[in-house]
Amino acid sequence: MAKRKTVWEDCDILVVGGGMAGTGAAYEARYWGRDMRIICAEKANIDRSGAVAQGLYAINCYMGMQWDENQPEDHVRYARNDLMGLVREDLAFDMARHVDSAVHKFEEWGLPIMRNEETGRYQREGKWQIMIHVRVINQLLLRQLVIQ
Amino acid sequence: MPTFVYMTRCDGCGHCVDICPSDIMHIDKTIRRAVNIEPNMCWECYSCVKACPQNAIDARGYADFAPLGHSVRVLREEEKGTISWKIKFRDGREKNFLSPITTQPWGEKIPKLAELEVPDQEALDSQLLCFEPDALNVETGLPVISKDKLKEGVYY
Repeated sequence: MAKRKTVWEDCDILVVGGGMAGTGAAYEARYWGRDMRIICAEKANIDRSGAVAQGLYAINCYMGMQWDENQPEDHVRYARNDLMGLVREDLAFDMARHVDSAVHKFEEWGLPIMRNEETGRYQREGKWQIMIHVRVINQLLLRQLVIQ
Repeated sequence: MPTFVYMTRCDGCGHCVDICPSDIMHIDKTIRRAVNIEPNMCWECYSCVKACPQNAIDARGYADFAPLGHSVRVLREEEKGTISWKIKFRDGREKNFLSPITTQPWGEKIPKLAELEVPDQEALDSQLLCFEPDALNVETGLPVISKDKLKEGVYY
């Protein structure tokens, strides 16, 4: 085992993990707490941080509220059924109602999202998924976080 | 199918060791080249293939997109915002794929939060996340649910 060095850091908010959720949480935290000291701690190389090495070619959950495709209630119903009722529905609802704005922001920041040529909407591959080109959304976020 | 290293191209720089999510790319102490020490634990995530500055790492793709005896090369170029894949089949045919990895200059479009207006107490007390409700693209604003709607219809 190689020698480990311990570094002590003080912070207001500690985000554990620099994958999609961690980088998003750190960005969100900075938005609301501009004068806070925020640390996003990641064990791995940030070029592939996250659970799926370099991510997926899809966003697995998008409501499409702007086109009235699904509403957060629909997602709660789906999650409830899928998990046989054992679900924190308030959390599922909260996640579902916020996901659209995050996806819209990712597209604005450069995420290539495939669109259906006929409808102009995001290309679906199933009820909830939409198709994207890039696999490493959190890299976009991470690079930005480093300089903030 | 796992990754493997072309020993003549590898210079032992260790980028693959650093990036491998399974920690199975190691530098062999005798020959000082990278080797996949545990091929059955390889996810074929292509992290090391993309990270290798010498293009010394290759992965055999699954048989569903290319039969054995082929080669898959990948080049990821952040400045151009593209990723290109080349598949050489064993009968000599080649297929090239080019996909965007970003539609904007890399990372430049993400707002610098230090330059934005500091949210006031009312915004802090709200249930909105950053850039909401504008980013939702719906006129009705952030959806809300009444408590009695929860657990509706669990017991079919």
